[in-house]
Amino acid sequence: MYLKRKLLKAASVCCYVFAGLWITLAACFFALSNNWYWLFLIFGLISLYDGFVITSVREKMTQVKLEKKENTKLLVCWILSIVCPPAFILDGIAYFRNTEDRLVTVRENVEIEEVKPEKTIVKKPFYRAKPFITMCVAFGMIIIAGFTGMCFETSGFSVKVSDFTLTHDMTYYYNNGEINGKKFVMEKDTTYAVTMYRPKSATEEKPAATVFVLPGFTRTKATMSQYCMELSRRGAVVFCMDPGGQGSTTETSTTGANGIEYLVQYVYNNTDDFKFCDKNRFGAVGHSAGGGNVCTLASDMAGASFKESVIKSLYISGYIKTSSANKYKNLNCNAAMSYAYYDEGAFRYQTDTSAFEVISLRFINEVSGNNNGYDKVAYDYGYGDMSDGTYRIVHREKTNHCFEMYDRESIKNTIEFFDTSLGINSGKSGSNQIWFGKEFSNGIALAAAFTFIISLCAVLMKTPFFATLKAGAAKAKTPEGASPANGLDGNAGNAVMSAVGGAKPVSANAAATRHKTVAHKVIFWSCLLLTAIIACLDYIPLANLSIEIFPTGNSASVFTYTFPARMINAILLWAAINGTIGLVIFFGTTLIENLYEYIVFKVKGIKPEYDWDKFKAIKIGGNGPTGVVLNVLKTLLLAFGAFGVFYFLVQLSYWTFHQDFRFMLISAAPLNARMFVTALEYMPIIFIFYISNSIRLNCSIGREGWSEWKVMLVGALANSVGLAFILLINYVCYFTTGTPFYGYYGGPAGNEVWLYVNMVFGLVVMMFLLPIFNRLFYKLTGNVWTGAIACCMIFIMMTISASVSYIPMY
Amino acid sequence: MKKHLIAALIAVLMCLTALCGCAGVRAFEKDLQVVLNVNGQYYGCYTVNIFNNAVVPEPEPPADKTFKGWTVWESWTDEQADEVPVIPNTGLVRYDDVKDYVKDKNQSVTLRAVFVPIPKRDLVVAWYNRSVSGITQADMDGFKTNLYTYLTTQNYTPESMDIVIRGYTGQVGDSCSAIAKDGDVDIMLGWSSASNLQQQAGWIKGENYIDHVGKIQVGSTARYATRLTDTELCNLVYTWIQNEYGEGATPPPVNPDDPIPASESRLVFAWYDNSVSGLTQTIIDNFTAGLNTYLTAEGFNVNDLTIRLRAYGDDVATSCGKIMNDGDVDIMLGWGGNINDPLKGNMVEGKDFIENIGSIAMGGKTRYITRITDTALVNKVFDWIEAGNAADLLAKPTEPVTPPDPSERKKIVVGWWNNSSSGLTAEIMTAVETELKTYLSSQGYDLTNLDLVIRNYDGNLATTAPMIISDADVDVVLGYGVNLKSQGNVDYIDRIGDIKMGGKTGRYIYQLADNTDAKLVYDWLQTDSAKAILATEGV
Repeated sequence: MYLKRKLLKAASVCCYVFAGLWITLAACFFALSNNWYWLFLIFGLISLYDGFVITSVREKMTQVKLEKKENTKLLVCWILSIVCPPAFILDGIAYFRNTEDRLVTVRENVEIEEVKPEKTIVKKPFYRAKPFITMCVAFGMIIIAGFTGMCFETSGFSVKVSDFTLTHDMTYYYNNGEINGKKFVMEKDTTYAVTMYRPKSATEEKPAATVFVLPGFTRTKATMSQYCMELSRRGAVVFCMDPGGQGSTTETSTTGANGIEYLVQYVYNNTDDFKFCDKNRFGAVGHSAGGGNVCTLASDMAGASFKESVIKSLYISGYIKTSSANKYKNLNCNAAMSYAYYDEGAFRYQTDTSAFEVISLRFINEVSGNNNGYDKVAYDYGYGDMSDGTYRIVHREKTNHCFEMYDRESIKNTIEFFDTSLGINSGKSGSNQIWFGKEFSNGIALAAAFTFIISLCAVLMKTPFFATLKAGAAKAKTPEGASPANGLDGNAGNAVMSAVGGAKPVSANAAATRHKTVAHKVIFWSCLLLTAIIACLDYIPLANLSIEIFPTGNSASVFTYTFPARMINAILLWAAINGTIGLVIFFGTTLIENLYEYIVFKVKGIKPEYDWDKFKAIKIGGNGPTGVVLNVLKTLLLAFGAFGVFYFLVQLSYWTFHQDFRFMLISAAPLNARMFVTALEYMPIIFIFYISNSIRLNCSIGREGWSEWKVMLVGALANSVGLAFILLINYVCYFTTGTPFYGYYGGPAGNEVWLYVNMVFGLVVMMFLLPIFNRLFYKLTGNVWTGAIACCMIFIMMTISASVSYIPMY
Repeated sequence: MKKHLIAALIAVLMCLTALCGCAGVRAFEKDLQVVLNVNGQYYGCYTVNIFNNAVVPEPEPPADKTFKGWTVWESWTDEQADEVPVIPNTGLVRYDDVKDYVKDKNQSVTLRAVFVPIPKRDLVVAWYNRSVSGITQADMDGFKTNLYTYLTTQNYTPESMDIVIRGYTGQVGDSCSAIAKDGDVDIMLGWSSASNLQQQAGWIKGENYIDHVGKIQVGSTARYATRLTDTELCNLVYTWIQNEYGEGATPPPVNPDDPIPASESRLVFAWYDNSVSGLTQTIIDNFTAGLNTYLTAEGFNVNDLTIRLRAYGDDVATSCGKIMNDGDVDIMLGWGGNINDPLKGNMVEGKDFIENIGSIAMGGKTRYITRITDTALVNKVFDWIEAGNAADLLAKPTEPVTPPDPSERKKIVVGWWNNSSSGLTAEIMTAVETELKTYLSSQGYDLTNLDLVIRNYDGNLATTAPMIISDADVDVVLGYGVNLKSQGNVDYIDRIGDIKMGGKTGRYIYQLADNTDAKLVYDWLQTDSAKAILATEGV
C-alpha cells in the first residue's frame, strides 16, 4: 500500500504541474488569438481536478486493494490523466498494483516514538526578543544601504549631489536676453524639481561640460539617476528634472519642451551660480517623451549655426514620432538616437513615413538643413563630423522600452556619445558602470524598510496597549471554553504525525475535515483560478474604460482634482472591481457551502456542519462595545503608524544620504504634497482590493490547514499570477508577431493601452508581496484590517509617487 | 530538509528555464529575404523580420505608366494591373506584408513592381486644394460648368468625354510630386510662380511642364496656370482659361460678408476685445497704421494686400469658437495661454493654430500672440511682433487726465506690502508719498482736500491679502508678486509687473479700484521717476 500511495501522490503532483502547464499554454494560444486556447484550458482543468480526485483516493486508502467505488474512481482518473502523460503512467501502475508491500510488514514492528513534553517558555526581555532584534537589524540595514547608495551616487564623494527648485522668479531674474531669438521664462507660479550632480573637478577655473537629463512620461528624475551618476563621475555637471505633473514638479501642463528649456535658460544665463558650467558644452538627453522634449529644446535653441546653438550634443532615446523628426533639419548640434530593438511602441509606426527605419534615415540625412542622401542606416556607425555639429549615430539596443534606461548597453552608448562629443574625454570606458550599486543598495533599503515596519508591529503588539488587539481577536474567534481556531496561535495545520503507515490523523475540527473533500478543493481552486483569469482579462479593458470615463484626468494640459493620476485610474478601476469580485466570491462560496450543508440535512438528515467561523476573523473583537471601539482605533493607529514610520524612514534616508528606497520600477520616494493629496483620493477605493485580499487570504486560504509558508506562497501566487499572465500574453504575442497583444484597444482606431502593460512589471511584484504582508500582519494582530490598511496606504503612495498627477496644487 | 532542497532545486530550474526562454525569443525572429524585381530585373535585396522593416526605393515608372506598389504575384497583364494586390506601403516592406507568401522552407520572397497604365483621359485639370491658392471646390464646380459650356460651343460633347478635375493638397513639393506620379494631368490651376515651382518641386520649364502663365484668377486670388501636355484639347482649354480667367477678365464676385479666402496677400488679425487683453480700438488703430508703415518699408504694396483687424469679444471659449468658425484668421492678438485648454479656448495646437507665444507687451499688459496660418507674409509680421518691434504700437496710449473737482474731498489709499519679499521699506514709501503729492498737485488736486493714505500691510500673503479685501478702500497696492489674485484672492483692475522695488525684482503694482484717482496714481507709479524711487536700495 505504501508504494501505491507514493505512486498516487506522484501522479497527483504531476497533474497539478501539468494543470499549470496547460493553462500557460492556453494563455500562449490566447495571445496568438488562436481559439485552441479553450481546449488547453479544459485540459488544464481536467488535469487539476483529476489531481484532486487522485489525492482523495489516496487519502481514503486503507489497504492496497481499493473498494469498488474507489477503484472505479481511480480508473476514471487514470483515463482522464491522459492529459498528463506522467500521471497517466503512474496511475496505470498504481491501478494494477494489488499486492501488498513488504515494507508494510517491516513498518509494523517499528516502535512509536515518545512524544516529548513541551518545553517551558521563558519570557525574554523585549530587547532580546526576535522582533526587536529584527527591527534593529532592519534599521541598521537601511542606514548601511543608504550610506552605500550615497557612496555610489556621489562616486565615492567626488560628486556633490543637491536638489533645488526652479521657480518663475529665478527664470525671470536671469532672463537677461533671449536665447537665439526666444525667451524662456516660466509664466506661472509653479515649480520644477531639479537635482544637480556637480563633480569636484568642475570649478570656475575649469568649467565642465553640462548635460541636462529628462525622464519620460510617468517617470521621475530618480529613474534617470544612472545617467546622472555615470556622466558626473566622468566629470560632467548633470542636471536632472522632474517633468510637468511628475515627481515633485508642480507645473502640470506639458507646455513647450516640458520645462527643460526653462532650466537650460536659467543655467545658461545664471553666471552667478553656475560658473562651473561650460556654456559652450551643453548637452541634453531624454528618454521616451523626454527624448521628444530634448529634441524640441535643441531645435528651439539651435540658432543659426553650431556655434550659436546652446545645445551642442543631443541624445534622443526611445522617441521617433514624425513631429520630432520634422525638427531634425533645424538642429545645429551633434546628435544620437537610440530606439530599443524590442520597443513595444513600435507597432504604431509601420508606414513609410513613420517607421523607425524611415525616421532613422531622416535622422542621418536631414542635418543642418541639408540632405545627405544616404539610403540606408548603419547602426552604431558615426556619420558626419563632431567638429561642426553634423555628427549622427543611431543605436538599437536589444532591450525593450521601459527597461531601456536600465540597459547597460544603452547607458554605455549614451556615456560614450557625450564623453566624445562634449570633449569630456574621461578615459573611462562606457562599460565601466557603477550605477547598479546604488540600485542594489536602494533595493536592500526597501526590503529592510518593509521588514522594519513588520517587526515594529510585532514589537508593539507585545506592549499591553496593543496586546488587547490580539486578545480581542481571540475572543472574537473563539467561543468561551473552546480551543483557538486554526491560524491564530501559530500551530496552524501542524497536527501530530503518526509514524504508522504514514497516515495523517483526522483533524478534530469538522470544518477542517470538509476542507479535504474533493468538492471543497474544486470550489476553492476554481475560485482562485477564476479570480486570476478575471484579473488577467479585465485589466486592459478597465484601463481603456478609465481613459473614457476620466477624460479630464487623461488630458496633459488640464488641471483637475478629480482623479488626476491618469495611469493610476486604470489601477483604481481594476482594484475596485476585482476586489469586489473577490469579496463576492468569498462570501458567496461560504454561503453556498453552508447552504449545501443545510440542504443535505433536510434531504438526508445528516447533521449539518456549518462553517461560519471564517467570518469571525473579519470582526475586531474586544471587551464589550468600548473595547471593540478602542481596538478599532488601535488598529487604525497601528496601520497609520506603519505608514508614517515607513515614510519617515524614507525621508530620513533622503535627508541623511539623499537616497530613497527603490529597485528599478518599484520605488518609495519622499512624500510631497501633490502626490500625497492625490494618493488620499485613490486609497479609499483601492482599499476594497486590499481588504478583499486580506480576507480571502486569512479567512479562506489560511484555514486550509496548510503550513504557513504554503499559505503565503499560494496567496502570493493567487494574487499575482493573473497580472503575470498579462505579461505572458502580451509578450508571447509580441515576440511571435512583432506586435504586442495589448497595443491599441479594439483596433487601430482605439486608445493606446500598451503603456498600461509597462506598469504591470512593478505591479506584479507588489501584488506578490501583498498577501505575504497581509498574512504577517494578521498573524501578529489577529485581525485582517491592520495589514490591509497599512499596505494599501504604503503601496498606493509608492505607486502614485512614481506616476503622473495633474492635480492643481503648487 | 529534503523537501526544502527539492523545492529549492525546482525553483532554480524554473528560473533557469525562464531565462533560457527569454534568450530563446530570438528564435521567433525569422529573417526573411525580400528580393525586389522590376520588369524582370533584380532591383535589390533586403532583410526583414518581425522587428525589422526595410526602406526600399521606388522604381522609376516607364513612360505612360505610374508605380502602383509591390506585389507577390508573379505575372499579370496590363489589363489586370489594377486588380493586382500590393503591399500597403510603396517605400517600406514589412515582415507581416510578406510572411504568408514564403513557400516551404524558403526564407526568400520576391516582390515585383506593379506599374499601371496612366489612364488615357480626354482632359485632366489639377487644381491646388490649399488655402493659399484662393480656390475652393465651389470655384471649381463653377469652372467645370463654364468649361463644359465653352466646349459645347466648340462642338465638343463634354458630357460624354472623360474630363477629370482633380484637387491636390499638401505643400507645393508634395503636390507636384503627386501630379508627376499620376502622370495624366494636362493643366494645373492655382500654383505659384515658375521660380516657386522650381524651388519647391524642382520643376523646370521644358522638362516638367510646357507653359506657365500668371494672373489667372479662378478663385479669390490671382495665381498661375500651367500646361503640361500638348494635345489639341489641352491647348484649346489652356487658351480659353487665359481669356476667361486671365488679366482683363472679369473676376468672380466676392461676397463681402464671407470670410476672406486664404492667399499669400491676406493678413487677418483677430484681436481680443476684452479688458483682460489691454487692447482697445485706439491701440488697434495705432497698430494698423504702424503695420502699414512697416510693410511698406519692407517693400510691400499695402494696396495689394488684404489686411483686416477684427475684434472678438466675449469670453475665451466663445471668441475662440468664433475664430475657428470664421476660418480666415491668420494671427490672434491679446489672448492668453489657455486657448488650448479644452475647457477654455479648445483650440488644438497643430490643427487650429501653429504656435501661441506669450510675454508680448500690449495695452499695458503682457499677453499672447497666436499664429494660425503659415504664409510668408504672416510669418514675417508674426516674427516682427514677437521680436518686440511692435511694442510701441501696441502700448497703451497716455490718456488725458481730467482735473479733479477741487470742492470734492478725496481719499486715495496706496497700500504696500511690508514684507522683506517686496523690497519696500517705510523710507521708500515716504519718498513715494512726497513725490506723489507733488504729482497730484500738478494735476490739479487740492492737497488740503485730499486724504492720501499710505498704508502698510505687515505679514505674509495669506494674512495680508484678507486685510486688503476687508479694508475695501485700497486704490493701489505695491510690492506683491504675481500671485496676489491666484493665492490671495484679491481682485484687481489692472496690474503691471517686472518692477524693481528695493532690492527685489519682479514685483507688481496693482490697481484695485476702478476710478480716475486710482488710475492716475497707478499710471504715475509706472513713470520713470516713480520707478526710480521704488527701486531705491539700502534704505
